[in-house]
Amino acid sequence: MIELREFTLAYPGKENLFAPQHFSLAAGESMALCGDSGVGKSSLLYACCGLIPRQIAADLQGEILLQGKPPASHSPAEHTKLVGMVIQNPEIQLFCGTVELEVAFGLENLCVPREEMQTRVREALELVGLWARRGESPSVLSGGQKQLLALASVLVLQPKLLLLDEALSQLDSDACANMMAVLSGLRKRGQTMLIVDHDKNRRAKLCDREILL
Amino acid sequence: MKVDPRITILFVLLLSTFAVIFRNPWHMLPVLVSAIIAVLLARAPLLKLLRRLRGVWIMLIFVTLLQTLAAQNWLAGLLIAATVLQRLVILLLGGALLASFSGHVLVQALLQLRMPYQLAFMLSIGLRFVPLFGESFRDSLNAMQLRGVDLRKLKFRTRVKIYTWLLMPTVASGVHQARKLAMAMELRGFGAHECRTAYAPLCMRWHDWLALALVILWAAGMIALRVVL
Repeated sequence: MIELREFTLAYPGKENLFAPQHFSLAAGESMALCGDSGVGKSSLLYACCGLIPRQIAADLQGEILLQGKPPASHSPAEHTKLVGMVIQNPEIQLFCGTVELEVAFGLENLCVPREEMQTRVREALELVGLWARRGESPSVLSGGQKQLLALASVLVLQPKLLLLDEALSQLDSDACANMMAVLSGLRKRGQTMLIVDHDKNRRAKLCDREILL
Repeated sequence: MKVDPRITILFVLLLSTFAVIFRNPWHMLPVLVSAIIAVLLARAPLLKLLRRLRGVWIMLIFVTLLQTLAAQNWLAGLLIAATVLQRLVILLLGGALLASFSGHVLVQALLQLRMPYQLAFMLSIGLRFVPLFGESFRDSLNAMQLRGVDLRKLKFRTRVKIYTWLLMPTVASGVHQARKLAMAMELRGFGAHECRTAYAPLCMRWHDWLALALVILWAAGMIALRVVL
């Protein structure tokens, strides 16, 4: 699914963030990236999904291959179907008027027909338990529900690789348990995941192995 | 029964055009009356908007007074002031009409009016950032006050200086949030194709067609009035 060969990166005018990394992640596997704050875990995820260097300038060394090709060489539409990412702050990821429209946003961008959209939106919202709140504004949801909604908005696109950048770190214990239940279900269904999380117990429950940056 | 937002957008565009091109207060009066009726019919959140724009009302009164006093003949000045006042009120009422729809409905209307979707989303997300900027600025101000700075006791010049200091982190945080949002949107395929499909497209019903016919008739009437009077 994804392979890193002696890969490292540096922001302009700065030193390499981490020592060259060499690892691969097969389909259906779940792996955690760990390390101290500021070591470059999020940056590595951004590189995996092509945001570095497309949106954020950085000097890349070594090779990173997503389905055998560098992330930047996939077309944006292909890319959306390959990788999905949930980031730490759900507030920033949600911008549509209703829960339902939020989930449909990605499908609209990919020109998915309306009938198929309706089915997929329903499935994604039922998976995270938010179907009953589909007509409400995302702003009225709790923090945990917002993060579940952000996850549903990514899952509806059926990405082959799911990246989670400290997606559980801002949640209270109940919300975290809900999110963990959804993620554990995804893992059982064979979803490939690359996770950045500071909590050892959560990593142990969600991941097959860990890489220390 | 709510009218299709595309008809409302057309009506607001016509209202604003008449407000700008009509220079006689007597021509402007029926436009103003139409705008008030439309706002009442649409049950637009006029009072909420008026409360929010308290500063604008002070400016309106100031402009009216200034226009009246600046003219050589006070009656001519009063007429100019009435025109300016009516113009601004019409524009505000147009805003209130648009505010009666939620953001996503307006975006969908703009998309179906063939506006490029990048532009429609830029408008809607830009508007979403305005309260976020205000919130971020207030947070910084509160943080400063909690550290013992009492703004009420400071001189005007010092207060302005403090506001300038606070502006920089607020703008920086806004830019940071905007970049993160752009990343989240790109990861969900925004801009992947030239066009997009719609999950909840707007459909014209019989009463929308009726409203469209009324708007066209009304616009023709306003133009005729302008020509005749």
